[in-house]
Amino acid sequence: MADDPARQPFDLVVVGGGPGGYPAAIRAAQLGLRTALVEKERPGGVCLNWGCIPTKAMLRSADVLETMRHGADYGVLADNVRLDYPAVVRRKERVTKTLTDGVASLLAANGVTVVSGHARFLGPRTVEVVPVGDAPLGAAGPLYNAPPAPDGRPVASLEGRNLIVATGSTPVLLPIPGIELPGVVTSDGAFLLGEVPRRIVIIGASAVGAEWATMFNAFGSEVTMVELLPTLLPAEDEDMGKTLARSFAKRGIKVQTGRTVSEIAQAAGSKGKHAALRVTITDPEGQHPQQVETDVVLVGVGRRPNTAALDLERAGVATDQRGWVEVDDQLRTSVPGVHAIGDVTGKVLLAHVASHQGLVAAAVIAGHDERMDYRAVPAATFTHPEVASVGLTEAKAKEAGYDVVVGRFPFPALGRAQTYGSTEGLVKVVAERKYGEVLGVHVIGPGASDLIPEGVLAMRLEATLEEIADTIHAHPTLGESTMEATMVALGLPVHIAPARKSRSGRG
Amino acid sequence: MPPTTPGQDEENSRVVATPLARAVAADLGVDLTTVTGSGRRGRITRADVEAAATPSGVDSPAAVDGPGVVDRAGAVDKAGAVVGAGAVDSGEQAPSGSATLPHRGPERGAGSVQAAPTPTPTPTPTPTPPGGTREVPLSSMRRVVARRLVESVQSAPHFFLTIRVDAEALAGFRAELNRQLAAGGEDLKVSLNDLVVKACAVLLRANPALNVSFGGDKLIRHRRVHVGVAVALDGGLIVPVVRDADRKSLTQVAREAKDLIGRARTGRLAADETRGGTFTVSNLGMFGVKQFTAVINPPEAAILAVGAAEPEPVVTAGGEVTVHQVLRLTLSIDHRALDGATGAQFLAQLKEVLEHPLRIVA
Repeated sequence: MADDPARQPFDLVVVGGGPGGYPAAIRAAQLGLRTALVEKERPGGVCLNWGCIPTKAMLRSADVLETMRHGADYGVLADNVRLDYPAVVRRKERVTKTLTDGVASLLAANGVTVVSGHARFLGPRTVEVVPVGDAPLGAAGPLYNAPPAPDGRPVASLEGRNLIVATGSTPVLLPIPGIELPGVVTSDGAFLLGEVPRRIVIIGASAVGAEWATMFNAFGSEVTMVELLPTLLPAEDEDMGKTLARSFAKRGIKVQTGRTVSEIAQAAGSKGKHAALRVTITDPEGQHPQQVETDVVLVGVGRRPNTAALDLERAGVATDQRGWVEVDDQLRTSVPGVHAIGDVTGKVLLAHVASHQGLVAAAVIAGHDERMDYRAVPAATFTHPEVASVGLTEAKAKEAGYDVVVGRFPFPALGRAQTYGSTEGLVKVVAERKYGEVLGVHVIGPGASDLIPEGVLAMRLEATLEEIADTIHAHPTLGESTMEATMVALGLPVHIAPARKSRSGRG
Repeated sequence: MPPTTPGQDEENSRVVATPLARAVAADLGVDLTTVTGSGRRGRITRADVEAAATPSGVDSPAAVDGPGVVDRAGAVDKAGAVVGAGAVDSGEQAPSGSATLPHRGPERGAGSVQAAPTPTPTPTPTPTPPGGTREVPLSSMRRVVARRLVESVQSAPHFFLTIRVDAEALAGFRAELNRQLAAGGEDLKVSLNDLVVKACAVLLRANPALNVSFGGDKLIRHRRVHVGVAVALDGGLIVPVVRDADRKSLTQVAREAKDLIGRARTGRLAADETRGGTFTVSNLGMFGVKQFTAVINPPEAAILAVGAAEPEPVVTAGGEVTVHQVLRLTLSIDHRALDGATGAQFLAQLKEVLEHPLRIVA
């Protein structure tokens, strides 16, 4: 070992090895910085261990199950199609292990010193690492938000010329009476359910809630979704939420939008660990109550920063009222030399944003003038059908004062969607009328998450509608949908009927 | 075959701008070659164009449509590019330009230059006078102008000849011509510069000695006469070319020059409209400059610098002293291709034509 890992100080100490922290450490090492990374559990953070990856692995099982159930539609007959849920979970674990092991070896290959434990600040340049305490949800549960072990003796003290806080966030439980009852879980707890719940109520129809709803619906649960705002996926364009609501209804998911849960209680005559729950759902004013019996309540709204027991105040790092670490566009906190990236900054709580922030922070620390630009940040939700988007929704674009032109292209009009047997959804392009500037692209339908990079690149490179429309897209592919939507926006649709000024006279 | 000027290819095709930036530039009349890009590797974005379009003083594109336009737009020479150099400062306005767009995210001011992962050190240290300096990156146009001027001065030995022209008749001729055009319902005013351009074209046809390029071991004689008109821009200059100016009527030349100058100022010239000139006319008269010398636009062999027409005492043929409009013309010639006497002869003929303006159209 030419480079003694114990030699202090490091050029950079990264606290947290999630999708923000590990790319930051790798990039910093590539740029020549001696880098250490402190992590509590397997590297990869919530994303690889308790979020993006495990849910996608399990959703893939749901997808395969659905396809097999509908095999007859394709002329493929299969009997005895059944679900082996423990096998679904085992597969999820294999996938996450492969990926987290991969991250561990990438960190090693780049010469990053990985220190296992809980880090807390001793000052603006020093963290000490102590053993991790018990996982909040039990031995099988996540460690990323575990407290330090009580009376744990420090295992290491790391000094860094620069530090990056990349500790992420934790789901919160809403202050609803009965929220503490067994059977009420967050997305973390949902992984620990040993079986598919017969009935589940999901509070919150953002990405997390909507994905779990898709999964358990496919696995046979009776799913009720409760969302306070008027549409599913309220952060997305209204057309996405409305289309998804139709698909959910068709699949038998009960959707209650504009409604909220006011109380959770044990169902009458039900006791013990697997006691049924009674959920009271009302409108936002607390009126028109309705009671639903369920076995599990999944709370999929709200996260708080993981800053507890980090002793940030000893470093002097400023946080806002809710504890998010404040950073500028170069990810610098109020303390010179201390940076923060990912969920803990409260900017955009998405893994890929954390990763990009990590790369920018590493470059800034290495002396390069890089900055974050949050204008073209894609988001994907792996419901059935999938939803993905980038940029402004139609409503937001109008609100911002743009003269908006919209192009919608429905998947039923697309050859590839028909051959694939998946025709739900549409592509919606939102653009500015005068120059055709692409302001947003919104996709709900087959392969949406893989279609969105074209929109992201278009926005990043300031392509206009014409560039997308004039780009030759391979046929027959789902990707043609984006091109067709831009043609619609330009008023030159080829594969759907042109818009009519008036619909009168139509039978 | 007209000569090609490789430098001008760069001016037009090597501008790296986003499609949106190009669309906005065309709409706002911003010449992309004058814009400094804030994106990676100098890519010009919408924000950069909008920053460049915010009024920075001297020449607003709107002035192009005003009366007497062609005079105002009349040429500024390479040396005169310095006049436009103030426009390089348009880079200073970048941040405020982005602020004019309310819906732009604050994260990325137009001035934010995203450095490539390996920053390159500044090559030449510049002396720092007290009070400090600020480095303004060169626009691509500025870079091309700088390179080509050095190339011209270093390769072509310049030889200068100045002549005084009694422009009284010329001014009268122009006034009468414009009266007739107006009476005929023509929306065109012929400028003094148009008259000089046309006169040069006529002479270059009759006396093609100057319609040449120095070709190292040979002299290249051009069969056609294409006269460039130097146009000052914010941040540099550009020389659109009136093709076959000798064969076109005076009003046709004037009309074309007006169109070219207008489009030069709004950044809408096609690449080939600045190529293939065989001679250039440059004019600083509108700044009150009486006389100046111009740097030859390679590979041309000569350039004419036109000063202001101003009242001066002259001695008439009858020996009387009177006050007439007087114009000073300075011809720069590439001494590798031409001799002083050849230039002198051309200049004398030009004086003769301009003092008897009917010969311009005869």
